[in-house]
Amino acid sequence: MNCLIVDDSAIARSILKNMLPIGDSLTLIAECENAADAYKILAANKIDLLFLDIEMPAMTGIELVKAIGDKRPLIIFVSAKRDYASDAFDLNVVDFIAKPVTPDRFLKAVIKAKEIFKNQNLFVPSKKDAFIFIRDSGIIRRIKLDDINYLEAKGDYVKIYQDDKTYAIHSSLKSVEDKLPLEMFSRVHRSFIVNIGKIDTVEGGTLIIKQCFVPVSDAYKALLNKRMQIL
Amino acid sequence: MLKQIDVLIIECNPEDQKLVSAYLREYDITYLIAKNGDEARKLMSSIYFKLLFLDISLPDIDVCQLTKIIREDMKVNTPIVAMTANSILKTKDQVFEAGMNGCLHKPVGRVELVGMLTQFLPEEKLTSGTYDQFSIIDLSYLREVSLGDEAYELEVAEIFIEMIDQDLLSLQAHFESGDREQLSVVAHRTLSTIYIMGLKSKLDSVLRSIENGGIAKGELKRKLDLVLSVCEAAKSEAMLFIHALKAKNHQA
Repeated sequence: MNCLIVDDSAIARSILKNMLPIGDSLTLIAECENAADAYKILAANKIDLLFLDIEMPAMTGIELVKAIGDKRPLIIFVSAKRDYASDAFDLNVVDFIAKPVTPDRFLKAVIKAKEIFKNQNLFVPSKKDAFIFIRDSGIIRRIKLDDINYLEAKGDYVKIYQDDKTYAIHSSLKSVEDKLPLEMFSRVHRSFIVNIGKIDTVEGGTLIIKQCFVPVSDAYKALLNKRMQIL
Repeated sequence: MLKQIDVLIIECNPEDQKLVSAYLREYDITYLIAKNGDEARKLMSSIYFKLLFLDISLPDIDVCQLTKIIREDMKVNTPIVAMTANSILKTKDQVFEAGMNGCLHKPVGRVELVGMLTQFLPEEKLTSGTYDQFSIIDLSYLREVSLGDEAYELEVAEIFIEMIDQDLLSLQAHFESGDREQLSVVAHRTLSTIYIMGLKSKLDSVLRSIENGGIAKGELKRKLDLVLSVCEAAKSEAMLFIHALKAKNHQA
C-alpha cells in the first residue's frame, strides 16, 4: 500500500516512518508538514493510506479530509488531542491513534486498514437484482440478495450479515443502498439497512433479525412502517 | 550439545513477526522465526529454545495439536506463550487446557511481552540499552519506537535537540508578544517533541493547559518557566545520550 505521512512535527513524522516496516508491504511515497502540500501530493500520486495529524497550522487534518471529498485514501488520524476522536470517526476514517504512538497500537490500525484495502472496491448489482457481486479478498463473489439479513456501516466499509457469514466491502452505506432493490431493503438507521423480508419483530427502537438486534432510529421509522405494509 | 537460542516465534503474519522480533532485539534476546508448525518442529529438532511464542491460528496445524506433539511426542517442556487476535478471555482456558503457559493479545504490547519474558526467562537481565542513568529524560519510549535501531535513536535525539530549541524560542516569543493563539499552536506542537524523550508524565498536563489557554498571565508565566527548565535539563541529558551513543559506535 502506498502511504503518505502528514504531520507538522518532524519527530512525529520520523517515528511513523521508522515504524512503517512493521506494517509490512507499506511503501512511503512522501511525507509533508502541512495540509496544503498533502492535498497536492494526493492529487499527483496514488496514495492508499494516509497517516494524518489533525492540529496543524493553517489547515487541520479534518479540514483536509473534507476538502479531498469522496475519492480519498484510507485514513488513520494521529493526534495528541483526544478531543478530536469523535469528530474524526464521524468522517468514517479507519482509525484514530492518540500520540505518543506505540508500535502495537500502530500495527493494530495498519492491520485494520489492510483488511479494508483487501476487501475494497467493487459492488456490482446484477441485471435481475436477485444477486449482487462483491469483491472479497481478491475474488469476486456472488451473493444472493435473499441471503442477506442486514447491512451495517463500519468506518470506511460496509458489513454484510448473512445467517452464518459476514462480508466487509469498501463502500459507503449510501452507495450500497442505491444499488439494492427498494422493495426488498430498507434503511432503518444512519448505519443500518435491513432486508425487510427477514425481520422477525419490531419493538420500539429495535428490530430483531435472526436473533440479531438492529437499531431503528426515529427518522426512518415511518418509512419502515410503510414498507412493511403492516396489517 | 544442541545449539541454544532464547526464543522461537511461531507466527505466519509478517506484521506480528516484525513487531515481536523488534521488541526482542531491543532487549538483546536471540530469536528465530518459524512461519508454520512444520518449520517450528524442524527448528526445534536441532535447536534448544528457552521460550516459544505461538500464534494460535497457524496455516498448517491446529495449535492445540501442535502443543500436544511438542509436549508428548517431542517431550519438550519449554514454556509456550500463545498469541491471539481474538479475545484473551475466550482463548485463555482453551490454550491453558492444551498445555500452553501464557497468552498474549495481538498486536502484542511491549509491557505485556516484557511481563512474559521476566516470567519465563528469569535468568535474562532485561536491560534495554546501557545508558539509562538519566533523571529527567526516560528513554523507554524512544527505545520502543526505534525497534532496537541505535542509529535511529541517535538521529531522533539530534532532531529533538533541534526541535526543542525552536519550540522553546517560539513559546517565549509568543508569550512576550501576547499572541495567545500562536502560543497555543506551539504548545500543542511541543507535545510531539517532548514525548520522544519520555517527558509525557512531566510536561503533558502543563503543556495542555498552556494550549487550552484561559490562564492568567502570572500563572501562564509559571507554567512556561516549568516547561523551560524541564526542557533545558532534558536537552542536556539528551546531549549526554548522544555523546554516549557516538562513543559506543566509535569503539565498535
